[in-house]
Amino acid sequence: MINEALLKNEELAVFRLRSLYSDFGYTQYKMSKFEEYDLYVRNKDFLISDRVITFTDTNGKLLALKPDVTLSIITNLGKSIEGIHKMYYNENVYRVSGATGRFKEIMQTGLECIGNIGIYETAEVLYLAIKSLALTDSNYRLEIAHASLLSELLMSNGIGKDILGEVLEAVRIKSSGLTDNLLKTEKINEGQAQLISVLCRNFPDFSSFASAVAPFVTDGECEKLFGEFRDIVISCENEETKGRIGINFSLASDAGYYSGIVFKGFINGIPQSVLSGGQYDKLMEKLGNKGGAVGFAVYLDSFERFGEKADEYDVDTVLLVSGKDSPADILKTAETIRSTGESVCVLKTIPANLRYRRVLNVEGL
Amino acid sequence: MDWINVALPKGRLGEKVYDIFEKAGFECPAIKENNRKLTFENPEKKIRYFWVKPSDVAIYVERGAADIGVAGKDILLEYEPDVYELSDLKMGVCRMAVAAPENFRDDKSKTLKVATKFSNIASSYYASMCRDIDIIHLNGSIELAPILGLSDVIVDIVETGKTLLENGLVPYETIVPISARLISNKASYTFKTDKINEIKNAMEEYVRNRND
Repeated sequence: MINEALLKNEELAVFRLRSLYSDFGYTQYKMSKFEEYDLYVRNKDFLISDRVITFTDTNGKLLALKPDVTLSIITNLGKSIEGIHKMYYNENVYRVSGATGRFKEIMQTGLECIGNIGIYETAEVLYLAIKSLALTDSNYRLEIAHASLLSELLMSNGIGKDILGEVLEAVRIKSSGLTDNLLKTEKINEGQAQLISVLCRNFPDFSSFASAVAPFVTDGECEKLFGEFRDIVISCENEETKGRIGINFSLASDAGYYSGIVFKGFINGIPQSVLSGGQYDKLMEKLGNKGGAVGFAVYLDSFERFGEKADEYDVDTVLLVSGKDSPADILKTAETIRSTGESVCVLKTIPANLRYRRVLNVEGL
Repeated sequence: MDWINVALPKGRLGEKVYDIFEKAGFECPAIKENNRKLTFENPEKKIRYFWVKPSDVAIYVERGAADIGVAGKDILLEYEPDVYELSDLKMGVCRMAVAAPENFRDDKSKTLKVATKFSNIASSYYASMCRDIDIIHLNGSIELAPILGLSDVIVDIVETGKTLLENGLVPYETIVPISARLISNKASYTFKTDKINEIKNAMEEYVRNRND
């Protein structure tokens, strides 16, 4: 039987997440640690960082340690995907850490739903993202945005391509100063500044976002995307998730290859997002695949120090033995102590830095 | 209600920044005591301040040791921390500029030698102009580089231009205006939205009234 108290946070999370994804009919996808480097060169826009660890295989082919899992899954499915494929994975990826600028091994669990997906499949993935966060800690929050809705809101309200970069930057970093500058230099008008100000805000639920953005949803395409976004988010709102789902369009301004919903999950006490995902139909199209795709990844390395309580002792009991003690007696004595639930370390001398509750010898019992 | 941890940049700018927090209603009288302490808190307002090296503010905020902080735009552009840049406090105003000796002429047939503390900003600026450059990363006394022939130009912060002038250099091109920004950790903003917005709005109001 597995003693959960001995498992590290991230190991416990893996067990729980695998069980959750299996319950929803997702099957595990196992892959090699290596992939041909060419795959990443052709799709480097999709990667968080275009820096990849490479090496030459014995046959001369240039390989890479996987910086990403999704690209491999899509490639493996082939170009003619029929129906819907639901998969989850638990793999290590190797990429440059934004904070240190150095390569890091990252333990990642996630899932992908690929093929002829619709509103239901997208909502299911979003729901599983919420469930994944709830399984790791009760004080979580999932922030959601919609990349196409953001573009459409800006375009339909007259924000042209010439200033789109500056506007997206203002939304990305929630900068009121940047918006003020755009207004002061007459690159945008008062109404457009108000829209940007709405898009910079965090909303605690969909209805407060809907009220704030309603005046700016003016054309048919915008209404259609807004409706799609509403249907997906509202289907995940219930008593359990109340106060746990928010709308934050700063996520969508940095969406890259995401075309539909984009989301990030946070756990109170972990200083960066622990879950990230969205709908990436654009990538499917670029890889020549028909259909859509939605998925997310949980960054398990973030949990390593979460809720950390330093153990007072390395071991409960040190069983000090000498060469005269018989091995059978030592094993028997140690097992007797262990049967009471204590941990026992058998030593001949006690190392200087070992922290222990008590010391016994074989006769001392 | 949760505590808010604030990273302030040590030095003159930091003291001015704290004044804004104080005037905005988030005072912590202990901070003005003359001692070597680095952390100060006001339990009533549930706010805790700590002094850190100006270039480290963004690291404290990005890594979540501080919920919010005040950092120069130069630091944000150079290190590109993953934080929200909530507000321009319109103080510590200066500019990032290219400076060169008065008689400098940019010879486009040669690689331009650029001395700077801000390698990322300089590289991005010249890359946007497709200009081939050789970055010489220095940590101080940047103005010496063109005088001693180490570089053709420098990229540095220019406030009044007096130091440049005294070393025979002139500002040549402005890259970007710089000022102090209120930044926030992304996860902290998610869980402490109301409190952080309350601080941001009060500070912006004070800055607006001061500038009017």
